[in-house]
Amino acid sequence: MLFQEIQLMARIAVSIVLEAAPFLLLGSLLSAVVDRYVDAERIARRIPKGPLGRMAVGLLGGMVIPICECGSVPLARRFLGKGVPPLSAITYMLAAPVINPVVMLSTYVAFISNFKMVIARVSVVACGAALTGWLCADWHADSNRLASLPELNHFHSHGAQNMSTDGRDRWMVLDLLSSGASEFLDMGKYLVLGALASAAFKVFLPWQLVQALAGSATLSIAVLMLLAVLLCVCSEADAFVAASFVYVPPAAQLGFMALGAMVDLKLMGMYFSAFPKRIAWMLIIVPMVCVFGLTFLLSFVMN
Amino acid sequence: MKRVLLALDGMLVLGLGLYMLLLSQTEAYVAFMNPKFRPFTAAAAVGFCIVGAAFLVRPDGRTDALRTLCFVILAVLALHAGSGSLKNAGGFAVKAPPEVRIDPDPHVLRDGDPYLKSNPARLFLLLQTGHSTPSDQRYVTRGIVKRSVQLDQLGKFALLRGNMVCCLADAIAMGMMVAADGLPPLRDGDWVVVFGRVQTLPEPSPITDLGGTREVPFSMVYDKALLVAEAIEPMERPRFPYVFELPPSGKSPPRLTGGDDDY
Repeated sequence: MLFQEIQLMARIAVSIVLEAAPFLLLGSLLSAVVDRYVDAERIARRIPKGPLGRMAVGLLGGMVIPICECGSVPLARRFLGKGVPPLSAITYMLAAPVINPVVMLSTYVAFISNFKMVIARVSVVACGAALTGWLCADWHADSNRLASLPELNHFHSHGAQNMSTDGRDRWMVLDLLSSGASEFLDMGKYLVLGALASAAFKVFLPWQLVQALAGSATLSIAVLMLLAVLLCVCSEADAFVAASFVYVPPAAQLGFMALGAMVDLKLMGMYFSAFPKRIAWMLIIVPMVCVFGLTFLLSFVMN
Repeated sequence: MKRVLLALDGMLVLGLGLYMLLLSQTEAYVAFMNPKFRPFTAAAAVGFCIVGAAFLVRPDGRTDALRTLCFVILAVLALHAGSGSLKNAGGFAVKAPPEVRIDPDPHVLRDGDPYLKSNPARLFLLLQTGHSTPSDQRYVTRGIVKRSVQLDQLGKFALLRGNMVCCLADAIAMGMMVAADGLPPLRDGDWVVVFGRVQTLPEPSPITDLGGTREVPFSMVYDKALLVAEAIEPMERPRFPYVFELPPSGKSPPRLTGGDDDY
């Protein structure tokens, strides 16, 4: 019996990696491209100076570069390294996995054309992302951002400098791909560890207890939020999972969808790898508090 | 040591790409992912192969034993997972994907009566999304029997199928409560074919003590209706135990594949 459960756990862990790894690779390659081709001064010129403008850039960035949560972390880290203000980069990192056309459409389909649920999900995530980004903006102002960031991947010294002046460098593409691979490996270790932990929870969690607790209106939001963290379901699929929880109130389903895209086991590891501890803790705690508070308030008007 | 680790890193990324490419071309894929994503996985696999090869030729200078170890663990897990829920390694044989079939008959005839094919997850989603089922509509559905204390007290059992949206991690065993008055009792874990009609319950009857099945650790049954069985027949566990259902739009009939996931 235990052998079967361990095998199921292995299957679930592998399936999480199979689903998420392509997005992580995409994010890592985009990150390498940003590092190589995007000019920091140009970014600085184009980003609005005011906090509302910066927040709007972060919130709407997902409509331009739609990417799920695994891919948004390496990309946001690179944006920060390129001088994008944390208010924009962190807001983008947390909002893009939900505020993008693909996920909004999947939520609409999963909840049977219930546009209110789409609006509610986008609003809660936007509030959580913007608040976290705003709180992290201090980090930008108070410290030397580049020094406090963990070291980013670098091209080979003989490649990066020469390439910038001469696009004919024959190693240019290889270095770009190699840098993407290295970033993927760095972030991928947390994906693997998160997938393992999530699979273990999924197989060994006493689901009867979870179902019993979720049956209580007051506890259901917290229980579903905990599930979102433990299960590591991709933001593109989580609406369908949430919609299947037929015994819980809509506010709890909303909490599951809103939090899972911003905080889960694999993302936690990535946050601690990509950001200083204080920022990583904020990336975990602020969205949790914000999502819980908003969904609790919305529970009085949602039926 | 550093060169060994870097070479191993490159080989692991390349190996991940080759594994994904192989898996995307085999039957075993459906034990991990919704078959709709085959082209996506295959394309990503090619990307991993290219990136892994590039890393082998021009490795980034840094090493990290933990990251190497994590990907070694992933390789071991992939080997341990094998061909997933398929019964044997034949699932890794490269052949036409099982979901590619001709349009099948949507009905099964039993004693001259037509029964509409619908897997338990499709019935669940049909009812959950508010689609009414005509009282004279007969259904035939296949699934795994799940019993619990609550269900036993009600004299019912649950009929479930693991439903995958994207991958196994989001799979939930979904289905219906079944009333089988006068029919022989069934054991937890039996695979059966149920012929019957849907009956709406006067008030919801949530079942909160369901565990999981062999394929999916979490289950959910529709609580506002039940399937009243006219006949139940035992069956062998199907080769492909999972189904891949999304909520129905109601505008078009469900797509049938002729495979194990139809009903």
